[in-house]
Amino acid sequence: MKSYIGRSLPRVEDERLLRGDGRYLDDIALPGMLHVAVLGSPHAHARIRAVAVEDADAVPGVVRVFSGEDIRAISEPLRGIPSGWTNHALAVERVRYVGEPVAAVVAESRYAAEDGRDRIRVEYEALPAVVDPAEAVTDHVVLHPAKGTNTLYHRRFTFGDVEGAFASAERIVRLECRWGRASGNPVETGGCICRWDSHDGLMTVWTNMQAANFLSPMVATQLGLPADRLRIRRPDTGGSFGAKVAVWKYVALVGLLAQQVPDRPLKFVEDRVEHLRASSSHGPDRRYEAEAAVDAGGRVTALRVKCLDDLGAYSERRPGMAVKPLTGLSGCYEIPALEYDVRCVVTNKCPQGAYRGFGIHAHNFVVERLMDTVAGELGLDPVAVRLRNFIPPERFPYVLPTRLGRYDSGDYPKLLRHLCDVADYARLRAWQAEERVKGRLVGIGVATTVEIGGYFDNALYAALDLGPAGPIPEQVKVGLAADGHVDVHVGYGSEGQGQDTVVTQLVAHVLQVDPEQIRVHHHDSGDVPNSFGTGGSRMAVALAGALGGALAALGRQILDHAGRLLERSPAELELDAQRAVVRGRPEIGVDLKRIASQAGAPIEAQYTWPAPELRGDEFPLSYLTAACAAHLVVVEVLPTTGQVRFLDYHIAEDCGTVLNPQVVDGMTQGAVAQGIGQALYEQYLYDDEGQLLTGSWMDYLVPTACEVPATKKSRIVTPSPYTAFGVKGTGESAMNTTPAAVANAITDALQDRGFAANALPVRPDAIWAAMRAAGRR
Amino acid sequence: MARMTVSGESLFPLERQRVWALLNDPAILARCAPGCEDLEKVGDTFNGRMKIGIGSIKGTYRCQVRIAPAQAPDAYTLTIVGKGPLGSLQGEVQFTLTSRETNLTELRYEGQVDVGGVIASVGQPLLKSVSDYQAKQFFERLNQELTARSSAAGGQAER
Amino acid sequence: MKPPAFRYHDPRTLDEVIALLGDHGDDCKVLAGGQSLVPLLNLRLARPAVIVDVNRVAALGVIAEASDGGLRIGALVRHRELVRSDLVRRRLPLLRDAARCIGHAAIRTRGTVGGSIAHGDPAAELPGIVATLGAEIRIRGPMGERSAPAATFYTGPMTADLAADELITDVLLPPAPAGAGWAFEEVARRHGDFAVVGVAVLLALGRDGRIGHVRIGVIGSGPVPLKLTNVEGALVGETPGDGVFAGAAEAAAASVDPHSDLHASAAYRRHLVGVLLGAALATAVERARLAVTPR
Repeated sequence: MKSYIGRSLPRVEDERLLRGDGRYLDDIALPGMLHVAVLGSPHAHARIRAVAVEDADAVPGVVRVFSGEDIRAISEPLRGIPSGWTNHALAVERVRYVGEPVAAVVAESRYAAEDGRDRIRVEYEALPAVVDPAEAVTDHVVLHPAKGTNTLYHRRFTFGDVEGAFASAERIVRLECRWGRASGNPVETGGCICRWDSHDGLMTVWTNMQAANFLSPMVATQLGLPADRLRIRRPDTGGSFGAKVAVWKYVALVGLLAQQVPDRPLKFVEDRVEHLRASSSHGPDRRYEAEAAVDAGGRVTALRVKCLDDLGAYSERRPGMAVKPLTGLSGCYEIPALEYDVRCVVTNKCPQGAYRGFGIHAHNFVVERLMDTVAGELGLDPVAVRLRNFIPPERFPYVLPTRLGRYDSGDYPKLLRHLCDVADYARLRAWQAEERVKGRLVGIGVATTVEIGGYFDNALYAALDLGPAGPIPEQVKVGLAADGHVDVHVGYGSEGQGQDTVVTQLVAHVLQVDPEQIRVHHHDSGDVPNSFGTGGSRMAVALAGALGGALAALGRQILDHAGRLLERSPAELELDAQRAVVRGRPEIGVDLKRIASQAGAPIEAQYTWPAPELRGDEFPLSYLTAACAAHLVVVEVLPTTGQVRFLDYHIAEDCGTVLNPQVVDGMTQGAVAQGIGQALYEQYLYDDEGQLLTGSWMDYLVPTACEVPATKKSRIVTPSPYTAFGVKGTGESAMNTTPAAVANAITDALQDRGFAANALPVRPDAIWAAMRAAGRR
Repeated sequence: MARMTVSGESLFPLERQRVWALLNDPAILARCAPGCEDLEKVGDTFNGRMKIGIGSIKGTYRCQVRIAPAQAPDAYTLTIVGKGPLGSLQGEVQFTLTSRETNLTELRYEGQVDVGGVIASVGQPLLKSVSDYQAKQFFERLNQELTARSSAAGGQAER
Repeated sequence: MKPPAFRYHDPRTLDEVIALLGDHGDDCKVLAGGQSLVPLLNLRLARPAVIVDVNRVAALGVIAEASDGGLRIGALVRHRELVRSDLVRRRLPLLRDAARCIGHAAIRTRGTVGGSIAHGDPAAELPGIVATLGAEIRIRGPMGERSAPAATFYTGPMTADLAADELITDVLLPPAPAGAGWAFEEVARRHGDFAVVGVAVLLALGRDGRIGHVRIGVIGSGPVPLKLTNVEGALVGETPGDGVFAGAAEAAAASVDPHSDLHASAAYRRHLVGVLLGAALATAVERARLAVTPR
C-alpha cells in the first residue's frame, strides 16, 4: 500500500496555469458579446437629482444606457441581511459611497462603453458625509432614513459571571485597538458575463464569483428567475480571499441588463480602481476596547471586548464578520467569563464583504495584544502567560463558555513549546538582551490562534437573526472510466488553493492509483455535484468527507467486478498499484482498465457528505474543527527611520492530519503576506468627505515578495476526531496570528520607547514620531 | 470628492482699496489664474474656461467664479464651481485684506477646494502639491500685476 | 480602464517626431516607456488626441562618453541599461545606484531616461540625479535644438521647461571628479515605490583630505527635485567627520519644506532628509577615501 496522504505532491493545477493555459473570465470572448461600463458616484453621500443619458446614447457603439430608475422599474433592491440596508444594483435616489454604481453603459466594446460613460451627466445634491464610525453612532446624519439610525446591529453577549470576575480581579488590564480596513485584493478582479436566452428563458452566467453554487439561488431571486433558469459557469479564478463573494452584486446588475438586452452576452470586469473603491469587499474596520480580569499569577479570569465595526454604506450580505468571533471568542485560552459587545454602524464608505478570516482575525489580534499587555504589566514572559492560560489538552473537545463554538482537539501547550524549541526561544531572549544593550531595537513577538473551520453551519447566523439556517453539504461523483482513469466530478470553484491536488491525493490514496490516472472535472451549477465551494476553511474536511464516502462505494463496486473476473470473493481482494489483487498475493489480480472495460456498465458512485448539524446544548456550535497555530517573529526597528525589518519568522501549526504539506504551507505563506499587509501596509483611507484616498495600488500598499519574509514552518499533528482522515480545515490561521505577532514584536522592540502597536497598520512615521516624543519626555 | 485646504499670505505694495479693486478686475484675474483662457463678468459672477493640468493630466474646465464682498474692502469670499473632463471641482476661499502700512497691504487667504472624479482617488499624493503650486503661481502673478500697477501709480503721483 | 480614442504615430526618425509634435503641439503626447503615460491614459486622466511613439527612433537609445568626459545618455535608454552599463558603472556609479531604486525589474525594463526626466515626478530618482549633478537637458523642437540647465528645468510638480512640441533627446551629465565618492540613499514604503525621501551625494576629497567638491540632491521633499547648494557650500573645505555630517544633516533638514501625504508626515520627511544625508555623506566619504571602484 502506498500512502498519498501527507505527501507534497506537486500541485496538479500548476503546469497548466504556469504555462499560461489558464482561462480566466476576461479571456472569454463570446460571439456577439457586448461590454458594460459602470459610472460610479464622485460623492460619498448625495441625493441624485437627475441622470441625463442622451449624450451617452449618441456615442457610436453604445447600445443602451441604464440609470437607477431603469433598474428600479425591473427589480427589487439588492437583497441584503438584515433587509432594507441596501440600494438597487444602480443607485436610486441616493448614493452612499464614492464609486457606488449610478449608471451603466452597454456598448460594442469596453472602449465605447467608457466613452459613453464619460457623457452621462448626473446632477447631485451633496449631503454631509458620515465617515467616522463614532460619529455614525450619534445618528446626527442618518444614511438610511427609513431605518432612522446608523446602527445596523448591536448586541451584548455575556457568558459566565463577568461582573463578578472583574469585581474580584487582582488586576484589570485594558487596551484600545484599531484594526484598519483592508481586503483580499485578488490579482484578478471580479466580474461576469451574462447571457439571457430569451427563447429558452435561461440565464447563463460566466463568473469568478466565490461560492457560486451557494449564492446562485439569491442571484436567481434577484433576477426574478426560478433557480433552475440560472446556470453558472466558472472559469479559472485568480484568487479571491473572500473578496469575490461580493461579485454577486455585479452578477445581479449585469443579469438585469442582459434581460433588457436579450440574446447577447454582456461582459463586465472590474478594473482595479473600481475594485478598490466599490467592490463591496472591504474587510473589517474596527475600534476595540478590551479588558481582562487577571489574577496575581497572570491567569485571565474574564475577558470583555467591545467592538465598533464600520460596515460601510450597506449590508449587502450580513454583518457576519462581526459575530463570527463568538465562535472563538477566547482564542486558545480557557477563560470562564466572556463578554462581547458588538455594534455595527453604516458610514459613507464602500460596503464590507468577506475577507479571509471573516472577522475573527481582527478579534484574535485584540486577544493576543491583550495577552502581551497582561504579560507586560505583570512583568511576565508572554510565552509563560500563554502557557498559563491555554485550554489544557485534557479538556477537548472544548466547548466555549459562549456555547457557540467547540474546539474538536488540540494540544496548545505542546504546540507553543514546540515553536519555542524550534526557534530556540531562550537563546533568542538572551541574544535580544545583549543586542539591546548595544542599542539595537530588536523585539520578539509571539501570537497564537485557533483556526475554526473545517466546514461551517449557518445555524450561528440563524440564531442571531442574520439569515437562514442549514448545514452545507458537499457532493462529489467518481467513476472508473473504460481507459482505466478515475474521473472525479466536483462542484467547487478553484481560486488557487490547490483543491484539485488534494482531491487527486485522496483518490490516489483510497484507490491506490497513480495521480496521473486521475482526472478532476469541474462542472456548472445545476449539474451534479453540488458544492458550496471554498469558504470557512472547509475544503479539506468537506472533500475528505465527500470523497471518503464516494470512494468507499466506488472501491466496493470495483472489487465486486474484480471478484467476478478473478472468481474470488470481493472480501479477499484489495486495491494495489492500479489493480485489484488478492490480499497477500499481489501477483494474482486484474488491472483497473480491464475491470472497467469488462464491467458492462459504468462503475461510478456519487456521495453527498451530509455535513453534520452542529447543534450544541443551547446554541449551534457552527464549526467542526479547530486547527491551531503559533507564530514567533523577530523584528528590528530602525531607530533613525522607524522602519521595521524582519530578522526571523517561525510558524508552528497543528491542522490535524495534513493531506499535502506544501499546499498547507503555500496557503499559510499567503496568509502571512496578507497579515503583514494588515500589520504594516494595507489600509483603505478616507478623508473627511468620504473620498477614498488609497484608490490605486500606488497608494493602497499590498506587500510584495520583498516585504514578506520567508518563514520557517513546522507542525505537530493532533487528528480531528470528527472528520475523515482526521483532517482539520486550515489555510488562513496566519490572518489571525501574523498581525498580532508582528505587533507584539514591534511593541517588544519599542518597550522603552513609548510605542505600542495597537493600531494597525503601523506606519514608520508614526513609530518615529512616538520615539521622538518619548525621547523628549 | 477630495478636499484640499489652501492657505497662505502675500504682501502687496499698494494701498488696500487699490488691491481690492484689482482683485475684482476680471482682466487681471484672468491673467493671473493659471491656465485661464477667458473670463467674463456677468453680474457678480465670472464665467470662464480654465485649463487645469499637470504633466499629461490636463483638461479644460468650465468655471463659475463668484465673489461675495462681505466687507469691502476688508474681506471677501470667492467661490468657484468647475466642470471638466476629469471631473468636477468646487471651492470656497476667504480673503482678508489688511493694511500693514501706507501702500502695503497683506492678503491672507484660507479655504478649501473639493475635487471629484478619478483624480481624487488615484492622484491623492499629487493633489496637495499641485494645488499649493497653482495657488503660489496665482499669487506670484498677482503680485507682479500689482507691483506693475503700483509703480505705474507711483509714476502718476509724481507727475 | 480604457483610453479614449487617439491617433497613433510611430515615426522612425527624430525629424519626423519633431514634425509631428510641431503639427499637433498641445494635443499631442510622446510615448516612450509608457510607465506613467499608459496608466494615465487608461484612467482617462490624460486625453491626448495624438500619441507619438518614439520607441522606434534608434538614435535616441545611446549611452556615450561626452567630450568633457561626462556621459551623454539618450532619452530612450531604459533604466535597466543604466544599471547594466559598464560605462555608467565606471564613470558615474551614483547614477547606477539611483537607477536601481526605480520601481521593479519590469518597470526598469520599459521605463526610459527621457520619459522619467520629462515626467518630472519630484519623488523620482532620475530627476533627482539631474538636479544633483546640474545636468544639461538637450531638447529639440520645431525651432531647433536647445539646452536646458537642470537648475531651472523643473518649475513645479511634474512641470518642466519643456513645451508640448519639444522632445528631450538626451541628457548630459558632467564628469565626476577623479576619485569621487558617491551614495544614493532612499526610504520608500515598499521596495520599488516612489521615494518617501531620497538623497544623492557625489563628493571628492582634496589632497588634504578636505571636501573639495560636493553635490547634494534631495527627492520627495518639495514640488521639484532639490539641489542643496547652501549645504554643499558649507561643506566645501571641511574635513569630513561625524560632526560635519551631523551639521550638514541638520542644515539640510532645515532647508527643505516637505509636504505630508498618505505615506509620510512632513516632519518625518524633514527628519529623513537629515538622516539620509548623514548616512550618504559617510558612505560617499568612505568611498572617496578608498577610491573604491564598484564591482
